[in-house]
Amino acid sequence: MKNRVSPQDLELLSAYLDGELSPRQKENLEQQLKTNTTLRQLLADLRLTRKILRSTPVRRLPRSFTLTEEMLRPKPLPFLFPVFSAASAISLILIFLSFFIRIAPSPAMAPAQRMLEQAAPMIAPLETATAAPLIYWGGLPTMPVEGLGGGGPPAPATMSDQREAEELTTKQIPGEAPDAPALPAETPIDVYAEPEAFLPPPEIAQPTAAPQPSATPLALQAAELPPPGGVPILGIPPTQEMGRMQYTPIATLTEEPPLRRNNILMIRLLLLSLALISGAGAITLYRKYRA
Amino acid sequence: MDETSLIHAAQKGDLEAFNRIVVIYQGMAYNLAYRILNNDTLAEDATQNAFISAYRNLSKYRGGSFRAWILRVVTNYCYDELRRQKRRPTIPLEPLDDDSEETLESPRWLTDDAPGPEETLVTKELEKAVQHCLDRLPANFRTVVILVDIQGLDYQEVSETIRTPLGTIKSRLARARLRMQDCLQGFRELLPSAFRLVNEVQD
Repeated sequence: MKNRVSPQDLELLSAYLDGELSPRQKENLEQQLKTNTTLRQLLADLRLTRKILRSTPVRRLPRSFTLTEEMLRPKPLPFLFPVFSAASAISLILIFLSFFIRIAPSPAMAPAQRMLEQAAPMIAPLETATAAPLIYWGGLPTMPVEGLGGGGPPAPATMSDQREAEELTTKQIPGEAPDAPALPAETPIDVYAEPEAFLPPPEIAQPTAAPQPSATPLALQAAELPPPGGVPILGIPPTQEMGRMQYTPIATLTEEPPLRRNNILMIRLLLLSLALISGAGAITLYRKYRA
Repeated sequence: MDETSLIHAAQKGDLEAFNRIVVIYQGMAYNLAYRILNNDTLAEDATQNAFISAYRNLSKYRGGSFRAWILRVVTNYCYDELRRQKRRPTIPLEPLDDDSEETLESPRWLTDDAPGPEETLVTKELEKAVQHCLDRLPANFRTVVILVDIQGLDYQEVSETIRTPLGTIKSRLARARLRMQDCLQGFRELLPSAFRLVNEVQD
């Protein structure tokens, strides 16, 4: 009668041949071998196989493998090793430095910068639509404008200063005669006087463009003169400017443009790839020649 | 000077002492490499590189069977070579075995091996059959069979050599022997009568 041999039986038979079984395992197996002819046949075959393997001739040595000083001398590393090492190190240093140094925008990036500046006011309505400030206008209605942001007409210290101020007033509004004489400098301005009326909240006008620097400051000042009936108070724009957004997006001033950020990120990624590839090359060469 | 003293001397940089260790183990190392790789030149390279590497890394030897340690270095070089062959398979320019076509530049009949013609023939047939069957085994099975059945190491030394648990060694060896047995059946007529596998046990 023949039985199937399990992998466990095969392992036991193999170890039995080599004397690697415990006494108990050996006794159990020998009991099985007395009754199981399949196991006996397999044991005989394995024994013969082992005999054949052990009879395999030993090959003669082709030469001696003793070492000489010459063999132990390290082989010179190839030219590429220092190249790879330096490339990897420089790339890593550049990546590190890129987190601390802001690279000035190149002339080639200038058009992109201008485009961003022009596009920037488009986000202004979104940011200002929530709160329309109520602006209080006070002061004397016939007060001419003298000095921007000064809060009132300054008193000329000398005659020449007074003449200059008069000339400035007349020059600022060409073709339009002043309809009221300037008040004496000593006259205090009652900034706490009752207002003539509350002005409605200014409508927010769509910004047209980012503020452009002017080459003629005098003309600009004249353009900003308020009409009769309103006197500017420090920090409050004249009536012509009511509701008009004088807004420069903060993002364009402080943050890097997204395009530039992407470029820097791309450069970092390229440097990182270069560092990894050249580093792997250097390690491979070192292991090949020195390990 | 015993082996331990030689190892200590070699660890201190005594090349002469290390070369005496090389003389002891070079035959075993070369035969192991040849049986795993089945190529003279590759086996030579693997053996030489293994001894150079062993000398350079002798400080990493922490005791135990030095034979197992040195054979592990050889085995690792052989596995590296097998992996390299797998990545870049090449066709050898030399004949694969002695029966392959001879070239005019290297006629086999000019070489003179020591044993007589008949003995040489039997030995070569046996070796060819064994090597053929070894080559058909997976590398990790092949190594275990070579180390146990051809080199004569015990299970514990094999476990140290290839850093594999003892149970795995037993399992691999049993399965490898079974495969070798099946393979060698195909060479039954070519083997000497003493080695023919026949059903000896009847019901």
